[in-house]
Amino acid sequence: MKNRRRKFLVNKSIQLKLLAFAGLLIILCPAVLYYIVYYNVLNEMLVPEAIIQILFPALRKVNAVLLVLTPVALFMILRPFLVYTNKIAGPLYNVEKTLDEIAKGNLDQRVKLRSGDELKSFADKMNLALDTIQGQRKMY
Amino acid sequence: MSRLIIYTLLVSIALIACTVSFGDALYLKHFSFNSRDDLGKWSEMVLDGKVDYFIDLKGDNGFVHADSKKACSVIFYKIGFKPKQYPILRWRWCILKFPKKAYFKGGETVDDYAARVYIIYPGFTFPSFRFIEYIWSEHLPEGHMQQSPSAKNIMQIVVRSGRDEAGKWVQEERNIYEDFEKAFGEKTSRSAGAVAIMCNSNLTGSEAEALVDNITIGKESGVQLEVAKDEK
Repeated sequence: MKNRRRKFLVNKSIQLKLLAFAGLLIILCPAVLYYIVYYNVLNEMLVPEAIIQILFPALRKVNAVLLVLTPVALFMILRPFLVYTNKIAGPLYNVEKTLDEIAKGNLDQRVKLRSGDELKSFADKMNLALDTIQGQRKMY
Repeated sequence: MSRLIIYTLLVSIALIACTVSFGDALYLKHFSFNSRDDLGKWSEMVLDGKVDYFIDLKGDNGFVHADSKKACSVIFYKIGFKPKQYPILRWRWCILKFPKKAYFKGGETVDDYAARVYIIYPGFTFPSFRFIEYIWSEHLPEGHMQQSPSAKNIMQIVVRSGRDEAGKWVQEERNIYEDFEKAFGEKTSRSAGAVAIMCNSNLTGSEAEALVDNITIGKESGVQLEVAKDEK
């Protein structure tokens, strides 16, 4: 199926957790790098007047740039990431719905994935298993 | 043969132990500045024009000569040590030319000092750094302690005041461990990271000239490592 999902948040709980984790990593990694650079420059300069007159003005410029760039970078990285989580959460949601129907006795139900979705192999095998079970049922 | 090796080893160990303990008892580091290369391991940080720092040799004796013309730069030497273990900082200095007197501008004192000797206590961030500057001030009274206008964690202690002793070599000795407590209200167990010398005259737009010599970081008060160099 090539039609796209209208809802990006199919499974809010999982997707939001993944987004939060990714967002945290995106902020944490540069923050750690920033601190390492800051710490080393600070300990290289050592002289307070130099730190105040040279390092701090430079840091203020870097901070201003980061303040603008961080939300942009977060948006640019998290948006495709949200789309990608949708390609995992979507099929899981479909599998769950299909299993609900099977539990009700509806063996005609199949897992339907959209193009680009992950877990395609899993869905194919589940559908194949359902075909086999349905075939055996018809034989008896 | 094996006895000779063992004997040599034992003597070597004993000699090393004696050297270490003897050195440890007297001082951690002594800067005599008696060689042209003695500023080689010192780093310089130029803040507002370069101050001319050089080794001035008079025969075998040398000292740091700082000549500032409307400039401000610092030389510093990285050395890690515990002030609790090595609390004595000793040096000799001589002011040849004081910068212009301080004046008030926008509610703040604009001041330069012909010479200052720092002890720098590094930290994880700038606010956790601590700095103690020992200054020779032309107008502030001896013993006066003040926060630097630049930052809260920089304390300035006036160790010499006025022009009376200008042109003469003056010996100073400070207990940096006790000074830290007086300056910041807490005993410190942290390590010092550097010792620095600064001469500036940029803020007052004038000139300053100072000589600094025999900086020693040691354990005991009053231990002289070299004969006084009044002939300098």
